Amino acid sequence: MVVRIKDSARFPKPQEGMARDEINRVNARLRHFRGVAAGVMRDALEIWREIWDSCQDRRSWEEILEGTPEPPGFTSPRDWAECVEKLHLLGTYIDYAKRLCEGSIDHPIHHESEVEACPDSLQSFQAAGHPSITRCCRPKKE
Amino acid sequence: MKHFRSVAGVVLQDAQDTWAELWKELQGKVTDGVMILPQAERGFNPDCGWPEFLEKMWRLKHYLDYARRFSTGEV
Repeated sequence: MVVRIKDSARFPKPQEGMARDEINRVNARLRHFRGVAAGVMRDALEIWREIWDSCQDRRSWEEILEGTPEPPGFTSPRDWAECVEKLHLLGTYIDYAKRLCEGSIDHPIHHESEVEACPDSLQSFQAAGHPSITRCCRPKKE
Repeated sequence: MKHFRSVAGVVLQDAQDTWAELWKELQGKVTDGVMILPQAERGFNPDCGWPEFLEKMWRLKHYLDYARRFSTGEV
């Protein structure tokens, strides 16, 4: 059978088809990857905005110029707990996005072997009415 | 793909470093690991000062925003 140039252009060789499939697959993977990373970043920015808002002075600019004393800001432990929790969550988002980019998503941040028990903290938690907390996830110091 | 991962990885590493600096500021004054300390009720003043602390927060925002725009292809 004789294959003319005209026909070979119309019917691509199997290798070309495979290469195109591979390109499409890589493009789809990149699209998916970018979508996941963008989603994580959106959540991270939302959390950042909440932390930023909680750092803002509650007085208006007129009150600031008039020298109105600053109302108590982060004074209750509940406020602090929420703020620290948000900051911790933000760290988790950043860490997840970074591991996603590095391709090490399956590697946990801290292995069990890297966690040290801190009995003082545990006692404080349990005395403060949190008996369900049974271990502290503080990573071992270098 | 490799280029994208590298750029995003570097930006996020900077974001993570900045976050670690902020987190370190809270250690011993507001929180000890996972616990809110009693002295947190008396308020908090970062060692580096509020302007620098807020500057770090702002820098963190820029890293995150750049990484987001880079991911969505808006850069």
